[in-house]
Amino acid sequence: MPGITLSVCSAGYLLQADPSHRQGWRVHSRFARVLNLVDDHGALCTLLPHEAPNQPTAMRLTLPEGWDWRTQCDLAAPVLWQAGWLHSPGWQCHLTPAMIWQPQQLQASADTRRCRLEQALLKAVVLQGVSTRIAAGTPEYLGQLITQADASGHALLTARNVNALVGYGQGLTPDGDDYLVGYLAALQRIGPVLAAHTAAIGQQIKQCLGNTNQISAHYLQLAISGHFSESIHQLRSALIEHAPPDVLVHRAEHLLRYGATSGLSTLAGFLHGLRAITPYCLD
Amino acid sequence: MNIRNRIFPNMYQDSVSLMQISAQIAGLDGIEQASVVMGTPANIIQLQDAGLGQDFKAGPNDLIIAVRGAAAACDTALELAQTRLTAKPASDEGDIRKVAPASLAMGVETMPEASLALISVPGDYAAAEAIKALQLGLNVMMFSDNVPMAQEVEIKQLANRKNRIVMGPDCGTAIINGIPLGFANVVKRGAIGVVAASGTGLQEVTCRIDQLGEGVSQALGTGGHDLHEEVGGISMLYGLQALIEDAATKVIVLVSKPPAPAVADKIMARASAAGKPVVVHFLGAPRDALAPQGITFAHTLGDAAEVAVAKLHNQPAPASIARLADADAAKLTALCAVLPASRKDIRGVFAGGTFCFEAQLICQQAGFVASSNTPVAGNKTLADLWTGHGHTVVDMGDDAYTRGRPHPMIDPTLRNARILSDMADPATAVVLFDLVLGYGAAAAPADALLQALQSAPRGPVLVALVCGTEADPQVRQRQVDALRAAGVLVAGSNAEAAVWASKIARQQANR
Repeated sequence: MPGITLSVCSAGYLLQADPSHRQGWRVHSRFARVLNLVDDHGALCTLLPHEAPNQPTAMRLTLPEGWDWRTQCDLAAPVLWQAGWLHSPGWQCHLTPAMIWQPQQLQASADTRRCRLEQALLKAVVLQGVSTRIAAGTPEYLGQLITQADASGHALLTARNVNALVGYGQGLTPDGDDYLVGYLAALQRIGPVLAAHTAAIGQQIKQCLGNTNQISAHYLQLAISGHFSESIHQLRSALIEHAPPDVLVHRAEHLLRYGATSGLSTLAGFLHGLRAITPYCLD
Repeated sequence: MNIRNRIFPNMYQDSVSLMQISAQIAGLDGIEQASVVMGTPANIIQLQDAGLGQDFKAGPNDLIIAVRGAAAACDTALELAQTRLTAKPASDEGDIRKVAPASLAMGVETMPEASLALISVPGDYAAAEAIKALQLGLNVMMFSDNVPMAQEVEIKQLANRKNRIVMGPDCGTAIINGIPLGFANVVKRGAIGVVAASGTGLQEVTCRIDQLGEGVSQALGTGGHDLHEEVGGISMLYGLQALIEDAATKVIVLVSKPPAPAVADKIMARASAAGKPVVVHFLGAPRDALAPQGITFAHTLGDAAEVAVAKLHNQPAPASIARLADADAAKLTALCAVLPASRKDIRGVFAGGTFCFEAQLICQQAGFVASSNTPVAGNKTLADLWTGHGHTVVDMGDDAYTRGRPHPMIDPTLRNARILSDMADPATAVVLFDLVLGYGAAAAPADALLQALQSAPRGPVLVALVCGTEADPQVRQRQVDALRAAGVLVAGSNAEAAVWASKIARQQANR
């Protein structure tokens, strides 16, 4: 096999099934430490550096010091997935022996006391630490959404909100998309109580996917299907397990560090989602 | 006021880069407003609302740079953004370092000539890594502790089948082919090989050999449990055999606490058939035990080195160094003359577990029963970990003192505090302590203590041993000189230091 062998630290659970049956792999986009591959159906597979959190459709690699995908991988380079190996000129990696990242599936629950506790916990602990950063960092429209939700006591997003959010804002994954991912992550918590609303939001997002870029659309589709990053899972599990405040803050800070503003927008959407479900958690 | 924009089709840049570009062009003189966004419908509306243009021929996967300001500034801003977005990253193929191995298998692939894996992971995971290393044909040094005995047995039996050695678990010291591993000293290379189930025991013996002008061929650690009946001395037997077969090794030294009887028999049988002199020191073993043919028993760690060097020169074994020379007795008597009679206690404060053990044995032989967190047979278990009462000899490297803290050899802070505390106790006649030098140990082990001693009221006598060599980073003589300048008595070995401490306590007890 030609080139350097990159060690796979872990692979997302949605890559668990051998993806070699999916054809037409090619390079979608290259960054210094991240490489996106795409198949014939437009599904993305992301190669992340080992320091990044796990994602459902990503694998984390140990990259050599100084490695830059922009020089190591040509956009037109052929990509072959065969017998558990991913090959391309200059590099390959072996998926099969890698540890599979599979987050603990959190039981959706309409436990009302829990929801209120989680809301209170997040408010008291996380908001005190990060609320000013969220207020300063989120684009105007997101700030308005939060203000309106607080003022009206009615935080469920509408179809109109979704239309305005998809593709809105700065960053490779626009802020509005990140906000929706965070919102959906919070709604997962409540389960069947808001199932209809969650499905409606998902449907509305699907209709708008053409309004955002392919990379962001990929993460929105994962979120609609209930798949989230490791950082989001860890924050949710910290809430559900009533972790100590310092753990909660640590998990929230970890999410905040992602990207330039992605983490901020995601956490803002998550908080909005918790507000949204609170009225449905009345004792 | 001019408005310009530029579209970059299918341009994906990470968000941090986009933010940096946006900030850079927005900060240019003459630029009133700048925006760097993906060409989504929502963002295009925002650009239009902000007056940054009307007609953007861009889709969601395209990047838009839009600026408003002076004409020249806008052109500059767009050129700058283009340069940043399209610049090829510096090709550093030639500088790319090899893939950092993320597994033992990768390590062996990268370095096929490697013959040893040093494992230092939490005990729960160490056995699995050791097995992987053995399966790859490597010898193993396990720094990890808290490995269950059953796992140690499994690993060592596998090593036996593979004709490899496992040094450990809880093996912190070895010298292989002249290379110090873990906590180890820089010693001359020579003809004396050592196998030890004791880290500081290995250090004391190898340093003493060096001080006597000779050198070490190999120094192998076995871990503290190797000579338990369950483990059967697998690693010591392997190490012994390896030194027997090593042409460069002319004399072999074995060090351990007393093994299980059946294990001792196996070791003695192998040692007596070595065909070269073997010096055996089992701490605490009966002094009058009869040594098999070819074996010489040593009674202290220092003696083991002295006897080994004598054997190398075909000389008779010297008398034990654990005896009080007349000159030393006189000096100690004079010191006791100015000690209040109320001061009677020995307080031993050790970083090295084996030094603590040996000191207890020697003080016990002198008639002093002490309390310790690691008591030898006949001594008592400490009731209070943090305060000495009566004769107290503590191993501050034990888990009780190191949970969540560095070992005192690395960070002597806690140990120094204990010394000062014992000094302040009006019952203390002598404080006995060790200073262990070498790789892994604190860079200036005596400094903090000596600084504290300057202002501390002096009461008891201070006796120290300095385990190290002149070639160690800390330079043994430098530490000895500093301690002596501060009024500390520095003995030549741990045994001698304990003998001195016992003499002082005996002098005080008789008052």
